[in-house]
Amino acid sequence: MEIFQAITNMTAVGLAQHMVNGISLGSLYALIAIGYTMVYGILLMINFAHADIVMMACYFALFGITTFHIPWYLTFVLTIALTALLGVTIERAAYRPLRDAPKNSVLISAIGASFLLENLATYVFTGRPLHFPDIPFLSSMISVGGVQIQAICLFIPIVTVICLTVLLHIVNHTKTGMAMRAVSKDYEIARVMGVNIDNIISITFAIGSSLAAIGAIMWGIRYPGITPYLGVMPGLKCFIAAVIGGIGNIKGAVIGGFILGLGEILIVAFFPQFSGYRDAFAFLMLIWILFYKPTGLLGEKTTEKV
Amino acid sequence: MIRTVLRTEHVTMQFGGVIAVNDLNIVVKEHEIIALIGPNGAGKTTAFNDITGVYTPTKGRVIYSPSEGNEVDITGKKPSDIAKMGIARTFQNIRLFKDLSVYENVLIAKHLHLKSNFVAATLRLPGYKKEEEAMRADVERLLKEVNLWDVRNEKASSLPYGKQRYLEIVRALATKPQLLLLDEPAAGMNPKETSELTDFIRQIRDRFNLTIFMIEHHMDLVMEISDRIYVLDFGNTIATGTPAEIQNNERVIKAYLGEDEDA
Amino acid sequence: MNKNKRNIMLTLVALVVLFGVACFAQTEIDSYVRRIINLCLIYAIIGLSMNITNGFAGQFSLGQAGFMAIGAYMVGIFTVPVNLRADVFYATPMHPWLVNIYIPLWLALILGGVLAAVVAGLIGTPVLRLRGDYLAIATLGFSEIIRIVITNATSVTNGALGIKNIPPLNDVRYIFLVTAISYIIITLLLNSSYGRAFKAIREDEIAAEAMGIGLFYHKNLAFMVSAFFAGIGGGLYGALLGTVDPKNFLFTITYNFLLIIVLGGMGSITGSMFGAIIVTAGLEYLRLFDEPLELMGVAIPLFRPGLRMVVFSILLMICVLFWRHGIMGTNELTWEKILNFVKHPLAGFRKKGVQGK
Repeated sequence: MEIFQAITNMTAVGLAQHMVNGISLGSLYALIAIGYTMVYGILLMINFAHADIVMMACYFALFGITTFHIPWYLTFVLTIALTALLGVTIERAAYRPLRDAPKNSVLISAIGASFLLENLATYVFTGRPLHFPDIPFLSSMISVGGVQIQAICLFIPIVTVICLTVLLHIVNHTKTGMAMRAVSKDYEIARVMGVNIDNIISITFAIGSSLAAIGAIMWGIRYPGITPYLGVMPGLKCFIAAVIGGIGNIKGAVIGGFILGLGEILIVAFFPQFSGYRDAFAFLMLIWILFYKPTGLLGEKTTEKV
Repeated sequence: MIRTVLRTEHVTMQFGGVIAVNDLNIVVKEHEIIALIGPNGAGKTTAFNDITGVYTPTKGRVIYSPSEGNEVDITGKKPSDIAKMGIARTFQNIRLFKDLSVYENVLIAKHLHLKSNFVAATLRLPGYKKEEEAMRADVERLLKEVNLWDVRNEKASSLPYGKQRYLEIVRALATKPQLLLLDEPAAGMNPKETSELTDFIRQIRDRFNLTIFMIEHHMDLVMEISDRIYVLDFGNTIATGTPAEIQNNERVIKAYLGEDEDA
Repeated sequence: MNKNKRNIMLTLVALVVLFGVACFAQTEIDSYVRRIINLCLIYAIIGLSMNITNGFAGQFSLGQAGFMAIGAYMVGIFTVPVNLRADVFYATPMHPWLVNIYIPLWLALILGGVLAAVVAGLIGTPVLRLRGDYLAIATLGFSEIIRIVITNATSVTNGALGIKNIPPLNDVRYIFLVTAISYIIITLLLNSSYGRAFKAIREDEIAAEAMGIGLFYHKNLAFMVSAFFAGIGGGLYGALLGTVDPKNFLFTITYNFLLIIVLGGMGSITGSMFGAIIVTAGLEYLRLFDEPLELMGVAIPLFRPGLRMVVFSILLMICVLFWRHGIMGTNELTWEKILNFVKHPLAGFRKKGVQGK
């Protein structure tokens, strides 16, 4: 009942404002969640370092513009390339040597890689928050039908949809994509059928990291305080988004991202007294989904062979 | 009249669109050795998993009778509870506790009958101490009987393959079962080893007063040891009877020849 | 049996000797070093507690920070002298029900452990059905939820301001005794039939279940016992620091204990003890990386705040990548091995096997 009252009390403008916020946050979550879901689909591991790849991408973009004075559009391209390289490097250094090791070792290595990136960032960039540079037009506030929004909010969903379309095309209609699906369906058989597993894994990390970089740049414009730990919370939430959608499923990750992004913003909007618990929402969603539909909304059922 | 230890009533198991086991009706009587045979993928292990609670059958019931006049519906019960009632099993692809010693592997199987709670166990109260000593004495006896005592401190995974199969059976025996389910106990064994195993299975049946239900591919073993045989193909029971009856059954021969063509 | 009795005697003698050392340390050693020793001991308890779930029961849980926080806040809320509470809760007054309740430290420690275990029991019901990575992320999530609740329950926990004025406990004897008791209890549990059941679950859940080991009960038991001792360790941690603050219990602190058990060997009790000492002392020692360093009059660059944690995380990575089994693997340092070593210094290295009985 309370919720209806809250909605009726809210003006149309206010509601639109929250929707815009929720959709842009959801889009960002979606972009980052795709990286988790793709890696999990193929390697069956949580790439804990993915969150920190997002963080590093923010720093790349920030320093590209402020320290090296590279034009922002060029910086963005460089950032995406560098981040992809970083993702691939992490896989080579921290995950590949453990490919035949017990799963827990890989998990620990992933945590270690994440921790290392955070500490490295703290050491190199200091722990003080740095301000993400203002980007012409994108960072400015504009008014759309009486709703005051940051211009980037209009672009975030559009960019996300474009990325998703391109990605789905790659996965469903190219040879590489077919190989990726083969590896995630059955690793061993794909190997026997002559798929170069190492290459496919590298490409997966490159794609996941590129999307993370795109998300990170928009994140930086939207939430300009950059710290070494900025990736942690969004990272956890995006992994949860991937689980909600059905791990390994790209569309599922996007849906999960939107559910979490919108849910979080709307909870704060309608129940300001719970705003302190904003970060807990995602974890409660995780428990709920694992309880009622452990394979996620779009996930396939798997049974362990006995 | 001889007691029926295990009975499946119309047990059916469906995975998505695939029917792995269809309308399975098996009767296992006390002290019998019953074999379940059939080509690969016929649904034999699925049937075992339905009985031991790893899966819950889509349809049908599994009835177990631990003692005269006492029948329990164990359909969909937890595997651990089923084990406690006296049904033990081995696995097709050997599931030992690999990094633990032979001794520990068997000792762990005694845990299910432990009465002391964890506080009593932690504080080593007299009741627990007594139970622990009895468990250890039991394990020692068992291991000596099957000639595994000398290797008791070896890692389970370091045993030769054949011994691992034996160890898995011994571990199952340690739970003091009434009914023992063996999933391809002779897999990977040569004829000599298989014939030793045949004797062993008979021995433990008599020595521990067991009822045995097994899945097996080695026809020598099956034909020699079984009282009755059930034949599965594509989830359906295509024949049942004594070894002699099964050997001459045309449908069975066809099912097996069909498998040869595929292979 | 005879050997067993000898081992028990030797362990008791060793504990008495160590307690003597602790008494000596308390009076003769400066407070900074004592603090490090105490931190080693506390980390040993929490490392051991994490090893129960992660090393023995094979359930990869990352919830230690949350359970520590529960223990630490139990100490923080109830052991601050009543007359000093108004100073602590200056922004939001303490809840009237609590403001006059004082509990002695030992009782607060136990209650903190019990509450942590109860919370673990509640969390365990949904979470322990998950495996591997999912369990890791879900426990980590709950650890964060605990922290978020603590941050928001201002009238009980003083929120983000934290609780100061906890009577500081830099007493090696006290902390040693708690550690020794925890160590003994955990060892006895893990060497009992229940401990063997945990190991069976770690090795093969399906086989363990088929052998009559109830997964839910045993996983939950391991999880709750683990939380209990993490709560006690957290309580001591709060008492040692003299202050608790939600930021002390970010999930990153769990990584310290992860390193301890990985380094010591997942599934080794003695390994956790070694791991705790090495990691804690090492982290302190690594502080020199955070200070500017001059070598023969030349300032070495790179040495500035933050380097310590970089080195720390690199060590964790090296440990996982190249030394997966840590110091002890799943083996224990036993009196037999020590005595053998004393008798034949090199023989111990040649023979490596699992010890059964």
